[in-house]
Amino acid sequence: MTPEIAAANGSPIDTEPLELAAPETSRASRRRFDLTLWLSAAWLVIIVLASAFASFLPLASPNETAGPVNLPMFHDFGHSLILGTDSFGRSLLSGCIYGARTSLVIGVTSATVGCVVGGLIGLLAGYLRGPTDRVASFVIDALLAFPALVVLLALTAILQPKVSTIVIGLSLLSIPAFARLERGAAFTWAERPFILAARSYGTSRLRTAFAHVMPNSAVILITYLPTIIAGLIVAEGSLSFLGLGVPPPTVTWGGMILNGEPNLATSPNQVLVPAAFIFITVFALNILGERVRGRLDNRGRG
Amino acid sequence: MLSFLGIKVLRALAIVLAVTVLTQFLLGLVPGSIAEAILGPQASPAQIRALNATLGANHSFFVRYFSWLGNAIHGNLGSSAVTDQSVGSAIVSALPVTVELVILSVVLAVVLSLVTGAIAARRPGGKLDAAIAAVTSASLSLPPFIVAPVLAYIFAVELRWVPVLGFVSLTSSVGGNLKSVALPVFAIALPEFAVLQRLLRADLVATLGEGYIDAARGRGVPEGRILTRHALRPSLISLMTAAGITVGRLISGTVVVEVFFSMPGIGSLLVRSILAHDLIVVQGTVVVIAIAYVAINLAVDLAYSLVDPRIRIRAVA
Repeated sequence: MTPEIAAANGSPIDTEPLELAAPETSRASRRRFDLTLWLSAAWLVIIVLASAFASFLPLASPNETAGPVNLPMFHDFGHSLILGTDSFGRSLLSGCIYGARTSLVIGVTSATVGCVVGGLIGLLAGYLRGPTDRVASFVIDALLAFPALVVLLALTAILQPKVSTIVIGLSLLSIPAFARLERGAAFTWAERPFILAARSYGTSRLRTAFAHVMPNSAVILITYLPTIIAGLIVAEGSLSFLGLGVPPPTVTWGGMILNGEPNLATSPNQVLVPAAFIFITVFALNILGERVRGRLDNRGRG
Repeated sequence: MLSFLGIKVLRALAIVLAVTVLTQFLLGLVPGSIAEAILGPQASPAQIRALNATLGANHSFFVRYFSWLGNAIHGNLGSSAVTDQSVGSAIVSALPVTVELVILSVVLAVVLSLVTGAIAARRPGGKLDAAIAAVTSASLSLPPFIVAPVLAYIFAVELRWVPVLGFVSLTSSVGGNLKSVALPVFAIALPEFAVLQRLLRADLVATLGEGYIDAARGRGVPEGRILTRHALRPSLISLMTAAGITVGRLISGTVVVEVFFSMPGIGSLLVRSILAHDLIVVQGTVVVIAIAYVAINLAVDLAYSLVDPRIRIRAVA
């Protein structure tokens, strides 16, 4: 969380340290070609396109026996089995690409729901202040004080683990984070002279909030979107890894790691391949979020 | 100070109560009756009726909630429908494992972040700083469920330095215990280390730009001493706060690692009871974890305000 928002919140301690103070880059190094950022962006484009058009790619279905079992990586056996097969002879490459679909759909949907709902709550709390703010802040703080993974686990224990249940659970987790960010931003933007000017022209409070405060303050939500999507993908992966995520036949990265784990000693690629897909995707999203925030901060300062 | 303390404690109590209401409410959402969910599809209607009666599932939400709460306040969280063990004793026997994991992970994360934070802050933008930044940036994207199997592969399967599975309790063998917790602790500590390191580094770089550091340099205090004595001390407060928050988060974060390494802690207990539909145990465990989480956050809040009086003034005003 940026210092000004932390100050506006009046809370010195973040229950969830979202802002991870990226190492500041000097002006000179910022102009240099940022290889990490471009590689990250390229990976995200590739994985999104590949998973969206997976059925058009020359890939075996992720649930079909496509070759011999426990095939190692880079074994010369057709391009779709390049990353090897699992103990049922299913292609790991297919699994990872179809698994990306599950992770991305769940991560992006729940982050978007969280962003819209949390953003609205935060906007009204930060702009209207008074009792609205006090109630909203208490609820946000209470939600942030919940042990997130445990609540999610309890939810899956009780409801059937389906894509929809998991999206609901993850949205609930991301709402307080977005609400707190937006509240701080709306709070500071509401102090600007142009807001007072709009009000003095006779613009209603609600219209001021949505037409003038929101477009400015919501920028911070967009900059946190990749980071929160990354966090939600990790949460979904943890659930699947525990066998409590989206059940088969839907392929998930966490589920692939779970299935490959008994064969760790003989064919480690069954664990390492999906692990690498998760790591690279989460890393790319984190880098994207970090760099976007860095640019925005610098422009504000300069 | 008293009113500040009162507000904070009341808030924490309200959150704990909210968790208990929420878990009870969630139990009400179980499709069919709770007894059906616990006994599974093979159970006869008579068995289901009998268990529903013992669980009091036929009463209204409020009756069920307050009878659970009344028992819980007296330390009785009910007993497992599967193993018949009392939830309280199951939690008490699992707790030491989780507590050990959490403490060791936080200590490891703090020590690693102190060392690397100080090295990185000596020359911000230098080669070492960039290398450490690359490591933390990668660590942030390495959740325990990725690190645990990879570590197990490298150190237990390939190098055979530590056993893959099997938890050795601290009371039976200290060395064996440390060996069996080494990988789990590292897997938990890695992302937390990255968070703490970044905080500390940013803090240290800012502190090293202060006037009193220049003054110390002018007096001829050696650079290493400036770092450890003059700059590190004020940064320790925020590091300790962050570490405190980490402890709270780790209580639930150990779940994945405990399950992977089959360690008999709270996380394993929770997942095992979820998979067995043992909802009474799920409810008790979730509430206990929530209380621990809230209590630690409260303790961090209070400790922080003791050190920095500005906070309690702002909170009350």
